[in-house]
Amino acid sequence: MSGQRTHGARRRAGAALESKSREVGVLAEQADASLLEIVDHVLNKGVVIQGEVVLGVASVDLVYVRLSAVLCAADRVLGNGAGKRNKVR
Amino acid sequence: MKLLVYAIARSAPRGKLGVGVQREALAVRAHGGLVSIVGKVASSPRITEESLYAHDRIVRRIAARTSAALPMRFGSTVVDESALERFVEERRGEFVQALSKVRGCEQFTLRVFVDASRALERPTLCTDGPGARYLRARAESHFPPEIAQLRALLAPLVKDERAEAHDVPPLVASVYHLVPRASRAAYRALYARGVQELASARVALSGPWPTYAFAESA
Amino acid sequence: MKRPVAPLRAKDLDALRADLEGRIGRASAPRWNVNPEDAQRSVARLVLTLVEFLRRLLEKQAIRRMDAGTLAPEEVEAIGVALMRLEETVHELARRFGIPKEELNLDLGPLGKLI
Repeated sequence: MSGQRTHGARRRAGAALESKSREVGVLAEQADASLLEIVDHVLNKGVVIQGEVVLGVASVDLVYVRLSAVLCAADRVLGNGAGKRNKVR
Repeated sequence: MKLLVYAIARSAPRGKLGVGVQREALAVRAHGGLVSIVGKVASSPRITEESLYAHDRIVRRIAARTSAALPMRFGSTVVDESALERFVEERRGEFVQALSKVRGCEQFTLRVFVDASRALERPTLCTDGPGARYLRARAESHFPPEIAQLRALLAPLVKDERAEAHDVPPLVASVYHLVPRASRAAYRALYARGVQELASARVALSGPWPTYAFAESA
Repeated sequence: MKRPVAPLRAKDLDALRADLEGRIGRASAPRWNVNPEDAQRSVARLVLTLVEFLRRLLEKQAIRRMDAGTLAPEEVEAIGVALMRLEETVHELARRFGIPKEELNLDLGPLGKLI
């Protein structure tokens, strides 16, 4: 867990996200098919840098979780059926 | 200043990189077997028609000039060089795997539209219990049965396939195909044939795209 | 330079637009705040969203394994029943707390791709 980001930085990040979603709303309203496709591909796809959740209480950020460090497909880590089962048809 | 990241690749793209979304100079950073293509910017790019198209253009240019590249999502930034290093190191294994998958390939995107309210009852094996039927239905919500024939027709040319269900009628799903560049013409020809056979669905094909939908491991 | 896209009907375009606006809108708040004014609903929302996230992850993995043939028929049946009950339970609880289904979405960056 990283404690590097300050509370202020996270609040700014939150506000930045809100304004991004407004920008997209404005864009999408008048977008033709070509632009909608671009929006979907470059804004919804591609490699993403963050993968985190911030948990808080009473508007105070307390816990930062990088779930990608925790969750993974079991068969990738343990092997298919943890070696118990072979390919079944 | 921060770094805007455009793509992760196996090797530096050939030729001139051009400029980024904010007309900043693009640069290549080496990460021992991987490279990132970045631009130094003062602030995150605003989302405008121009900037989104620019991002796609830049990603296409990179993809055209290197053997394999993973497009980054628009506006991906890291605070500095060491953050960039950490980002690449943390996901190195995943990137290497994804890069070998998308090597030499591009993406076609199919949007699937179905007008009629879809029949919930589908012929099932009488040996299937309710659990199996449920799981099968969930699987089909991602890959709509209306395009099963079309997908089967295209399958020999499709290296990998991903799908997303939508619940905004008539849009029911998006299907993403990873297709070797060498098969582009053949894919288009097969698609043109197969789309005529569609009975209860409309499909809109777009592409070729850089491999946006195959950049993240799923 | 715009790339040509196959022509769509107006309602198709509207649907694409609505889907994008909805998804980007939901992606705007990856933080979870327990609000003491409405603790029950806050907690319920947090818990149900995480459970729903895990349910979709489990479902996707189960489908992958089913398609890959690495699940026995009785496993497919058992998993299917369990996930079906889980989905019903999540939606029933969400309904009881007045939490609309769309609020149970969580775009977690790279993890979002696992759903």
